[in-house]
Amino acid sequence: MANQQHSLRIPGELEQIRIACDFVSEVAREIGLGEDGIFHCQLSVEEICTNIIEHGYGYNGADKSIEIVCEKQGNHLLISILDDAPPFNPLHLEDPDPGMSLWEREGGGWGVFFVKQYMSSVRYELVTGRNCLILAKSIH
Amino acid sequence: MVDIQVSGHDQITLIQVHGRIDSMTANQLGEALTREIDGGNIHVVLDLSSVDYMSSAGLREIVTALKKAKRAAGDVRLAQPSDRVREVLEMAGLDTIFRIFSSQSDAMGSF
Repeated sequence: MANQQHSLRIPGELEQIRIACDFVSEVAREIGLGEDGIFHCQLSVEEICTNIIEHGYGYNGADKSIEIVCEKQGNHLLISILDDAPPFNPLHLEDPDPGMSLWEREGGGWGVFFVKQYMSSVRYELVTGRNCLILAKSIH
Repeated sequence: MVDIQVSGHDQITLIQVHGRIDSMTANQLGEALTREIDGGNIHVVLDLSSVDYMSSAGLREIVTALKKAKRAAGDVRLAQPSDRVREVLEMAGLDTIFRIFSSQSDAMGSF
């Protein structure tokens, strides 16, 4: 299935994220990622979709969508996540500090941080007015 | 997709979670923790041995619960996180914030 694209579109609602996670897991497994890699992809997709629904769509995304496109490119699985929220590059956010004390923790920012840790690379593009985050995961 | 069982043992509340703690289920865990701590059960053991997946939504809930418990002079202690959950806890630096035990009985006995 080299270079074959698989895509899925879900409504922008939290309840739909599991479908996106299952979809990405299935593609990742099919192209040969191990269980750890599959977990990393699944968690990353959940974190990004959750951010889009929470911050991009303001929990009001039932009539909006998130599109996920998976593609094998060389030795990587590329997962592109596209949304129609106002342009925003989450990679510009400052990483939270794991050394923070309990009382300094306000709860935010960990999702994108985990994605950066788990993926081989992450980049942001604005594609015909849509936010597009492209996650690359090494297959071996 | 997540099952949460709460039981009382003397002064300690044991919360056992089975399944995934993600952005769809984390609020259930948060509600269970809040209910107990706000109800005065401030010594909590959270058994994570049957949780194979926890995202940042779950971390947010347990951090909120820990703050709440500490403010009331209590604590939330973690028992038996799986390797995957432990990895997520470590990445967020929470392995130094929470007391983590390798068995439920050790966690229960630590209070």
